[in-house]
Amino acid sequence: MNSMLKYGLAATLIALPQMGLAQDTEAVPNFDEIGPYIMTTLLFCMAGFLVFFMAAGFAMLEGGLVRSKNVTMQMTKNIGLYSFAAIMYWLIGFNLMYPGDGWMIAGWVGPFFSQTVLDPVGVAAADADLAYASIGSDFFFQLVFVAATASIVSGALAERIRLWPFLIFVILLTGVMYPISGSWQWGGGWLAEAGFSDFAGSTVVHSVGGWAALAGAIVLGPRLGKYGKDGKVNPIPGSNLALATLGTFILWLGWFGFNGGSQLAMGTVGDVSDVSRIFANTNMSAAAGAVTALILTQVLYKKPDLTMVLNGALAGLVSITAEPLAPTLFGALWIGAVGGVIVVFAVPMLDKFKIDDVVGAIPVHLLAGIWGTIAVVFYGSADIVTQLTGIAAYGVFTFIGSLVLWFIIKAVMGLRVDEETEINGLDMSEMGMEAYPEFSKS
Amino acid sequence: MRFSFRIIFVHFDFFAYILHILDLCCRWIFLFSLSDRARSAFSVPANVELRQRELKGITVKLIIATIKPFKLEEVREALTDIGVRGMMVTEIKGFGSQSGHTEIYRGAEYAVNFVPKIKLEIAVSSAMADQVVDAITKAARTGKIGDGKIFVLDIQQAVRVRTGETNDDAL
Repeated sequence: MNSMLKYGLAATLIALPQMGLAQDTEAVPNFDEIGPYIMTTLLFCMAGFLVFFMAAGFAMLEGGLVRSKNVTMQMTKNIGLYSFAAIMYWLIGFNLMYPGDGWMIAGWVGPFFSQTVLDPVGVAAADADLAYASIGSDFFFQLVFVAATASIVSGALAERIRLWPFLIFVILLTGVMYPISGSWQWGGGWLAEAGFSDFAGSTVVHSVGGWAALAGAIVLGPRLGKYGKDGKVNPIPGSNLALATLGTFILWLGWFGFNGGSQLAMGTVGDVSDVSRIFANTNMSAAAGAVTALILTQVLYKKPDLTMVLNGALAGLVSITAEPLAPTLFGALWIGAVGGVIVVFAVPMLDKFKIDDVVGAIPVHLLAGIWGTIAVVFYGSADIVTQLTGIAAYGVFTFIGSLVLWFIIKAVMGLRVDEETEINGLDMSEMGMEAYPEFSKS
Repeated sequence: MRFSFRIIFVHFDFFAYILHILDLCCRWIFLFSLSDRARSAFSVPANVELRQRELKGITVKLIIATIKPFKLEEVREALTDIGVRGMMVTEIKGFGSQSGHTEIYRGAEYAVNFVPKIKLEIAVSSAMADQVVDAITKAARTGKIGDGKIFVLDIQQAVRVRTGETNDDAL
């Protein structure tokens, strides 16, 4: 439908000069024709900047929740994973995820090693994709999403994984696994045709990151001293809750781009209003998640737990991501609140299974992501069976794929630092520099 | 009868207090307007008077006190009021009869085995030791468990680095 419109428009525009009178040296398309293209490209650029800034949010959240002896390493992983993701997405990812007509296996796997090519410099209106947006803006907007997926993994595996094994996993996740599974839905693959609904990526982005993190946390094992012999859980408090809070607020800000930009159009009154509607719902859901976690921890533990409140806000955001447009503000509120409940109960539950998730990435991104995808049923047009099919498909593919990858990397080069390095901190042993060299360590 | 007496007493006390405050203010303003050298010269008479109350050759005492951190300012004030002119302060952690307590982080209970305290180390002339112990006890006491401990030790020798003065003169 879209491509028909697109080719139709292009044909019309190409034909225009011939149809014009002799004195028309150039055919200048009027704003009705190029306006939507300009506005949507602008939306992708702005939303892309916001989602890009989520990389800073993840970095600060993780930097605050790890101990000070591992902060340099965590920052290195964050800037490393973002940069590798950016390169891999150009090299393989983008066209693998959005194959158009170039599927290798129709609906399942797109073309490998097809690099992204931008619009030419100063592209003419006749050559531009006037029904959509510029390739550069679309590429950049999709690229920052894959970086978010990789950031989720780095938080869960913090304080014990070596740098290069982690980055190799990121390269494969962002270059191959995420684009393949993403193409099933957003590339117009088999799940999109089945009617699966995931507006901005509760499943496609967040659950995928969560599954990869879960597989990694299982293969890697918990941090030393986290679980006692008698099944006792020993909390390892983070080094800087101010940074963790800043990180959460940055992620919250970035999420307006994440969900708002996923409207994928801003050329009509309806589209631009929808973008604002998404902003309001996204914000409401985050607030509801935070308030729920605040009240629940106060009631359950007698004192509110800030780290849980931060996770609650993020869980609210992940929950609304699968359908941020259709719900009313009240709908966004209760969907986000359920996300907050999930986090408060899932964090201790993971500890029972001795799965050590340093920042709560698995409850926030995987479990709230699954919840958000199910919640589409209440306001969106999806049916529950298709939603569960999608959740299961992404779960099986990403979890098993990641598990295999983690085992291979472990066998070939090892994943963990040795015991002494872990106790002394990865900063000095692996990096040779400390994040806070002038402060005393705890 | 008793009532009116009390009023008078309170008034008396109040004026004395105001005078004391004014006196202190004047001293501080005056002292701070002086150079370092002049200021130390000014406080010599008080020192001499203190020293004359002791016997010659008496040792210097070291008072180590652990107190609740929020009491530090009160203790410092109480000590400067009785003429203590220096102390060392360290933030420490430890346990005594208060032992630890439990907290919850991300749903898991954990024990806080060491409680934060402030450690004071004060070297004073022996004659003053009891007074200092008294002042710390009064200022740092809340009546609840965990108020801290005070230890008094003999100091073999004290030396002022700048002048080489020893013992009492070094304080």
